[in-house]
Amino acid sequence: MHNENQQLRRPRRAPALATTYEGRNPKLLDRILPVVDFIEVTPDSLAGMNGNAPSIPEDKIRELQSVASEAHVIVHGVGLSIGSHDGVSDAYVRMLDQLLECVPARWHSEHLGYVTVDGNHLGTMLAIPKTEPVLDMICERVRIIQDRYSLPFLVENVAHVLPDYPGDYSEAGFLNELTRRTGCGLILDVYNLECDAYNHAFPIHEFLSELDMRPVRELHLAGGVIHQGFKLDVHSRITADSTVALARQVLGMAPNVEAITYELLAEAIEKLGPETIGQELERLAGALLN
Amino acid sequence: MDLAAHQRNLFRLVTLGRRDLTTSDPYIQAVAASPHLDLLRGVILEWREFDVERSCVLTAALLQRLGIFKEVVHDFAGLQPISPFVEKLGEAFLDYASAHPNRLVGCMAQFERAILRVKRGSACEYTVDWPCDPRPLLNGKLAPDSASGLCYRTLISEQIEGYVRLTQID
Repeated sequence: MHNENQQLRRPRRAPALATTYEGRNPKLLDRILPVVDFIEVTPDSLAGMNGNAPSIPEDKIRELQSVASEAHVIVHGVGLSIGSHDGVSDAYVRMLDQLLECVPARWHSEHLGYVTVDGNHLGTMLAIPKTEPVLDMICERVRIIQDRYSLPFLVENVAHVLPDYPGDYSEAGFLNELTRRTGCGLILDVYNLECDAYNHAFPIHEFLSELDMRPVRELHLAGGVIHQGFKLDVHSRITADSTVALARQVLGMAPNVEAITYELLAEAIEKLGPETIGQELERLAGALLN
Repeated sequence: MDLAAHQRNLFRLVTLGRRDLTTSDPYIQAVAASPHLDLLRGVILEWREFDVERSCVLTAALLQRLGIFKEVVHDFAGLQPISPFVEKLGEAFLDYASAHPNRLVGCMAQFERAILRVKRGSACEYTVDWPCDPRPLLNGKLAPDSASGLCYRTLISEQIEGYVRLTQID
């Protein structure tokens, strides 16, 4: 896969900031590129339909090739569905093949969950049961992905909207075993931890003290809403002070974090606009990078 | 724990709700009884509303002016396997709305579907016949001027400058 232009980019701070970009938004790009060193792209969001098959339009590929000369591109999937009982999504793999063949990426990642069952889309993402057979299944799939792409692969903790299945492992124990067996990295989404704490009394500090922090290479931050008494993982707002404080705490525990990504949904990018997003990135840089 | 059965049960709960739930699995029963299930189903519908708003701009706007946007999107979401790709979901929604009993909604959905197909490279020519002058509707007005009793035809094609030609028909 592509690795050219790496030497042309500015030296990276560690950790450095990243944010979401979905293409065809030059005003947003102009505002965020001076602030971030990484751009997070999601194949599912970039894709259009080519007949019945999703694929990434050529103009977006060319745009990302240009972006890659100014910032590191990191690829963050939604649709791999690594936890589906019937296998990962072939359509997603084809999009990932296309993207990574054309655009130099620093690493790629996916959520530890599933979005399809028997090929039918859930309309959301659910967490996997933390059982031994499921761990074996996920480890095998991670190894296949690692063999397919010569890039680091990171796995992200997801928010649990539904009550968690009582499995064989704690959340941290499952992630520890996954990284130990496969060597994959982790994305720690601190806003997801806050959602789980709010909605399910998830013990964040117990989780953090149990988790092996060495594989954590990226943090995700987001802002959401309280809706009908639940904290929603909707990535639609600026980050709350509590989320930033939790991120600072994690940064003090995780020695290998390279990127802190402020994530936004497409709806939020439209509503917040480039200036608000740029200001939020500058605020996060001040709060977390010093 | 049988992973396939576990995921199929959750799929049924998330997409269909509690109706026809037959399993005695205590975890699935607990999820079915939890308020989180209703919350999740509601959030999924809101995401579909947003997807339709941004992928079917003209039809969504008309449905909102008519006060039936949520109802139509929710009916659609309850019937269709949902595509995670907004372009495909939008096309499926316009197929669904094209058959809406309100003829203006049907015409608008057919018109928007034709526009999107032409913009995406279709070489076909599409025809939509309206029971009124569509221009007020396309300009954001709720009520068409139907007093004249005149019908109009829109031709949509990449061969037409601006993609659309409007003519009055008998």
